[in-house]
Amino acid sequence: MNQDDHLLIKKILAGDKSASKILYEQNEPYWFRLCLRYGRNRSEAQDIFQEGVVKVFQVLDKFDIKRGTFGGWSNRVIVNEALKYLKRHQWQESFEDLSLTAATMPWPESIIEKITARELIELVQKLPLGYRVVFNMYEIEGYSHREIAETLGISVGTSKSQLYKAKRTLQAQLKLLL
Amino acid sequence: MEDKNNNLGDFFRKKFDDFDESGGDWMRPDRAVRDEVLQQIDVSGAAKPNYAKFILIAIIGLFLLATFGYIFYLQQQVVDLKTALQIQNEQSEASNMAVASLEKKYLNEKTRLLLKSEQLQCSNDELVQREKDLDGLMQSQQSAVLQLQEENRILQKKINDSVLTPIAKNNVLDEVADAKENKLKMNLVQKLPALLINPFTFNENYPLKLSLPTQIRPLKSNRKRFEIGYEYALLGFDMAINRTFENQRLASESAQTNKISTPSHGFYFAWSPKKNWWIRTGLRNTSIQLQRRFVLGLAYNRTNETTRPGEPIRNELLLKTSTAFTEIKSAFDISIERGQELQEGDLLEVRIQDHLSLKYMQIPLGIEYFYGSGKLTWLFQGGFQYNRISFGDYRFITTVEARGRILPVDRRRILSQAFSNKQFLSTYAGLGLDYQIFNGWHARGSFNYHYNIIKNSTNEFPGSSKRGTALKLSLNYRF
Repeated sequence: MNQDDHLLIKKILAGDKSASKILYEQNEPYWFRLCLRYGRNRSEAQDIFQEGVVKVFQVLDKFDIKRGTFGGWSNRVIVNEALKYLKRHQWQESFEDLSLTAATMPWPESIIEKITARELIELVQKLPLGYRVVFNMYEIEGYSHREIAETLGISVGTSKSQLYKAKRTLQAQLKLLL
Repeated sequence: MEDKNNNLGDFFRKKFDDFDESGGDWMRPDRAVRDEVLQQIDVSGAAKPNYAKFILIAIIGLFLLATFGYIFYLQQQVVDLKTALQIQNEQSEASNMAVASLEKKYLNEKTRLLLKSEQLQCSNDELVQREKDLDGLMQSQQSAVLQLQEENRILQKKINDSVLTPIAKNNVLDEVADAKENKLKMNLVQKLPALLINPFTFNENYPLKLSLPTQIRPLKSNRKRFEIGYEYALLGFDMAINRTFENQRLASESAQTNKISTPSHGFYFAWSPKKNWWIRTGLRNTSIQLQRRFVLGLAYNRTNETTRPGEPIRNELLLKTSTAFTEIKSAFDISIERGQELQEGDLLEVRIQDHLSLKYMQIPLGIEYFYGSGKLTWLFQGGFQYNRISFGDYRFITTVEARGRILPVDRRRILSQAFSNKQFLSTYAGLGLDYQIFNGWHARGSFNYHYNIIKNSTNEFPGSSKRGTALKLSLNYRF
């Protein structure tokens, strides 16, 4: 978190509405991209985004600069809101084992240049919920399996299994894409 | 399950970290969503983060206020309940007393009626007996009359057969008839009185005449025979005070009469030997305060002057203050500067303010008669009273003026205190009203006239010193 964010948060807490707008605009792309990864589609991502961002501003006074950056903190808040949203809407299909048989393959650097972020996000969105959530939390947000298990109310083994299968699915999808 | 595809995660992470705008508007929320979020941020965002705290504080404050209010309300309730309980206890106690009193009255009344019934029964029996006696008497009288008539007839016949003149015969006949009639009357007069007592006339002697059975005794009266009470009295009397200077010649009137009005408090005890008659005694205490200012004119006497070289001339004045009961001697010195000497006979104007306090104890012994029925009755009282006076306090201050100058006064002192009537008797008589407030309790007010039997050998004090009045108010309980 840079000094500007800290100053903005102080102003927001003092009641400065213009500071809220500035902080929002600074973080909007990151927050929305995060939501895109958790939603099944862009529409869901927008719902998650709306709930998550409002939540960030509601609990802004609880942010402690000594315990981490604003980006990391706000990401966690939005992830939590995303999980709540997903529990309400599509949890029933959550962590079933799907028999996907995608082969493992290495990822050469040349592929990275050819594929866009949007395409990757859309791949992630197509993942079943359990896969998508665990993949996002573990690989992108950096949660540990224990944290994922506690947050989602599943076992650590299930978390690992879901991650493994998510990756295999993505590999298969990437192959098709390329 | 081991993850062998870490490179995939790295690939994704790297791609997302390398933020690009390749997605265009797809990578940003719609304007509508954006506006909605911004609006919600304004409404419920961090601009009012402490709002919840204020609400919480307000709720806690309201809760505490309500709690204190409720505690205060409960305390009031407890006080009210205690008061109600106390009143209820008092009422219960009063009810119990009333019930006990009624029960006592009921028993007394029942016994009285039983006695009356027995008396009526005895009267009835006696009446029946008298009726029989009267019947017997009448029969005997009728027999006597018949016998007399027969004797008369025989006598008439004998007279007719005799040789007496008609006139002499008639006289003899009349004498005989009168004698017989008188004899009959005497017989009746001797027998009737014992029979003609009205059985329905109840008086104190009647039960003796009825010869009641020994097991039925006359009911003992429930008349209350004793009384105790508190008395407040406002005593009024004339207290004459005479002030003289023993070593000076007075040039003005020295006596002064003061109207004294002083309250007294006392308790007493009374006993009733007979209905409506009470003998009363008690103890009353009061304090008489006499605070007076007076001016005396003196013709200066140089006899007692003392002189010392270089000092002013001094003269000791001996003041005697006496009442009908006490005699106080005091003294003070006056100083006269050299060169301003007073001459024999110069007028001294002495202003004195004194305060005399006496303790006055009274022990009355008297008789009272209550007249009337009902709750309000008249009261007549009279008797003797033992009085004892003792000193409380005496103080005085004085100024002396001569030839238009104020002379210095010092060494004020009391030389002696004595009594001329330390203890004495007095008589009293009074009239008042007594009101029965409720059973046993009486309120009483009376006005008394007192006459003190005191020595006044030199006739120094006026006769009014011996007289006094008292307005007495008392609360009494009879049992």
